[in-house]
Amino acid sequence: MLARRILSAGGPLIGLAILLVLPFAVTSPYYLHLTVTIAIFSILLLGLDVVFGYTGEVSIGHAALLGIGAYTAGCLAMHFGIGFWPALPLAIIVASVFGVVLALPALRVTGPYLAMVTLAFGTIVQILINEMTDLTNGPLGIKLTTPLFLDLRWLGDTIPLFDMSLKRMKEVEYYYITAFALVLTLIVINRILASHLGRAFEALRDSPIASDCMGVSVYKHKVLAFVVSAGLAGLAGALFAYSEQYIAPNNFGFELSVQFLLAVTVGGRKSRLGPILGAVIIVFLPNLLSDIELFRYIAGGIALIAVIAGARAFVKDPENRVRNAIPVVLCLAFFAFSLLLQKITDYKLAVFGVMILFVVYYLPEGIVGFLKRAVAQLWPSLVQTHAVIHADTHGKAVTATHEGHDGVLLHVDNVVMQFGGLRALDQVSIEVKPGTIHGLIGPNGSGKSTMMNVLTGIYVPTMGAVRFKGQDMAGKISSDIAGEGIARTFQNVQLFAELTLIENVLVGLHHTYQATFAEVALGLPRIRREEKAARERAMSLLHFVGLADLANEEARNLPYGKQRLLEIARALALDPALLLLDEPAAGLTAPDIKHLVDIIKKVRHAGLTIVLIEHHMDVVMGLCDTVTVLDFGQKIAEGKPAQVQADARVIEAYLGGVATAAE
Amino acid sequence: MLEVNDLVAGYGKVKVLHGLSLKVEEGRLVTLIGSNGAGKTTTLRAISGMIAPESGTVRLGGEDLTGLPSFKITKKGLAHSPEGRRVFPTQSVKDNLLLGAFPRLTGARERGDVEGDLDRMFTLFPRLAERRAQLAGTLSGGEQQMLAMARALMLNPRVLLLDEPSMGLAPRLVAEVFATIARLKDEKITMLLVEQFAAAALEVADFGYVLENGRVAAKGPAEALRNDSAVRAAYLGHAH
Repeated sequence: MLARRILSAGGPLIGLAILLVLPFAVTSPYYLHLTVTIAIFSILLLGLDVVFGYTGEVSIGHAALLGIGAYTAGCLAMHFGIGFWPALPLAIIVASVFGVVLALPALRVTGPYLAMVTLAFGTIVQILINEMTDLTNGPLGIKLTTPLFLDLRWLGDTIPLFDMSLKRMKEVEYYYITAFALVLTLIVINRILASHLGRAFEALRDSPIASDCMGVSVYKHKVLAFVVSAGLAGLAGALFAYSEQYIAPNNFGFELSVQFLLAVTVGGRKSRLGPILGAVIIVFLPNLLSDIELFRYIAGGIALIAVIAGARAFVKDPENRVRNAIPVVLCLAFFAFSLLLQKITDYKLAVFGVMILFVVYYLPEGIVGFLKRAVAQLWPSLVQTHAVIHADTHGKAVTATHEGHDGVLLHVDNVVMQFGGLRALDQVSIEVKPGTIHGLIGPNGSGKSTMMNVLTGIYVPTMGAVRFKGQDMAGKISSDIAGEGIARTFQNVQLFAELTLIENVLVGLHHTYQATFAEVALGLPRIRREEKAARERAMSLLHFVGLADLANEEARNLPYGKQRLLEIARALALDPALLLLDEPAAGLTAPDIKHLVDIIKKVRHAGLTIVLIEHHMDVVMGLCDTVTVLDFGQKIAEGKPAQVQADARVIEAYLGGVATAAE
Repeated sequence: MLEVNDLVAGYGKVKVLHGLSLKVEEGRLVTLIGSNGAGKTTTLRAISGMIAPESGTVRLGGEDLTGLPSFKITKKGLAHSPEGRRVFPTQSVKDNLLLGAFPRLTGARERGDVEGDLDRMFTLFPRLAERRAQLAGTLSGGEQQMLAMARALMLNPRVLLLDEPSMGLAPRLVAEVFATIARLKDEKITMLLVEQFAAAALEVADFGYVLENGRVAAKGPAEALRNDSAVRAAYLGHAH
């Protein structure tokens, strides 16, 4: 316990101490300059990780964003004589605007297609910088001079470690400025990613549809992620311009973007330390490799670690001895190669490439991810366990406002949904009365799920109207409809797989946060208060569906039946007036179905209205007040469960000979 | 035919199976029942190599399959019709079926008469014959389930694993799926069936295992389990 507490508080303190004393240890101006570059790249990489690690999109345009920041600073100095300090916020703003430009295609395409778009963005920016000679001085580049902000030369005699020559002084001072910017970036990024915004980024990566249906607009948050990322790249760019004192278009090319991606991958995604480690690797390693002695030490160290790890695996995992031996042999061969090599300069880049490939292949989670797992295995007590959160027992977990709307909560009026030649819904009208459970049944492919998607705005109906609480819902986007009070679960479960159970529910509680982006970044009291209240509420919702014990488990580790319950808890977090359940009992065994039925009853008791799609007839017949039957997109029957069950057309189309075939 | 001994398996840190043993004899239909999270699907996944078991053994006709990757296990003649159907949505019904026979073209087993088996499937599932040129993704849920089963049968399997074949199907189709399973049983196909409808599964099966928390809690001839009062109360729910 104590060790863990010291570690969690001590980590940042140790980091801060290292940053403070580093200039005393690194006396060579060359290496100090590299350290400054590492700090600058770290700022950019922390921002890249927001897009790459959290929203899961690959950007090959970040070098261009760095260039935009750098050229903002450069142009301001060249054309207007505006100096360092005003250049920093302006660079952030200009790069953020370009971040929006980069985010717009991200709303239409994802994955490899988006990567190609960002690549094109990077190339175009580089060409523009090259061609717009009047503004950017073209291929000749821009020269800048680092100003001296505080003249500390009078200290010269008192601190012998400082070499008080002007050049050295500038470099030390500039180091502290970038180190300060890095610390600030770390704090702000940490706060954003730990907040509801960070969860929204991850939610839209794992399931964009579910995000929208939880009222978390994919559109808004994707743009936000790109803007945060671009803003940090802009800051890094301005710092970079004054650190290098000379910028030219070819500083910001494709290779640099790729190096940035490599740095985050190798260091470790979704962590703070990972990007910093990545920056160290891409900046320092190629330089360290110039020194053959040092290279041999590094190769020897890697080989030693590999042998130790290999020996451990040899004992513990006897079945895969051959497979585990391969990396050990490779590391030893690498060490032997380093001893044989006489001059390294010719092979520098090749060696660098091989090392990176090796890390990516054998440590797919990056160095930090690997270390985390190793620590968790060796000293499980050191791994941070989650704070115990008490469920909010004062308020009810599930509440609903009960207003009369002419006795009809949801009015589906002659809805037609046409897909090419197929009419998935053909003039269907349904009225759902408040406080009731309305069943929707029919054969597979009869249009039930299509109806769900129309109701939640995923599809826009070809004809007809949907009115909810007397308001027209047609043409509204999913996240707005969720905000109006319609929540749903999904037939093919759509959880946020890499988030924990409580985080999944917290995404549903996104609407309870009023705090602005600035409040989150500054960590003001309101966001803390809201976070605490939301966590308590989330716990009570997990409690409600019986999953409180598993709150900190990742959702993907849950068995199927429990995933369905978690979806219900997440939907309830929206405080909906109407809950749409799409086959909640599919894949559940008899006792679990009983548990589910109890939960649905409690939800209704709390005042919610429910639309239930289900194939288990005993569930439908036992729960529903009214049942609508669809077949080939048309309504073929409607009425009380018993009535519907006895209907000849329903038996023919759906139930088959035996009405209770489904147990 | 299929023998599982002391199987321990799970996902990452989470262990699901804690020493599970079961046996499926040739030509028999054996069913696994149990509540959600008991480890039914995990058992099938560990048998067919989709997850690597931590310890224990899986034997098919006496041959050790433990730890082999799933594509090699399939080549030995073990077919898995997975939960949620997983047909190849952008390929035609016929191509889906031919892919099911793919391991026969490269494995050590006899290649046999692929075209003949294709015709056999179309006789067994007439709906699929009607739709042979249609893309699998455009089939209805019930048809996709038929396709998933037929695709697995195209392997000419020595053992067929069926995971939740009735999930998400309309009551009429559920009855149809069970009728198909009964027909396969008449053809002496060795099967291991995981089903949410425990009652219906025990109706059609020869032998049953009841799983609880990754262990076998009870086993016996299907009829005995069906009449066991504890099993009835816990798994067959409100007896209709």
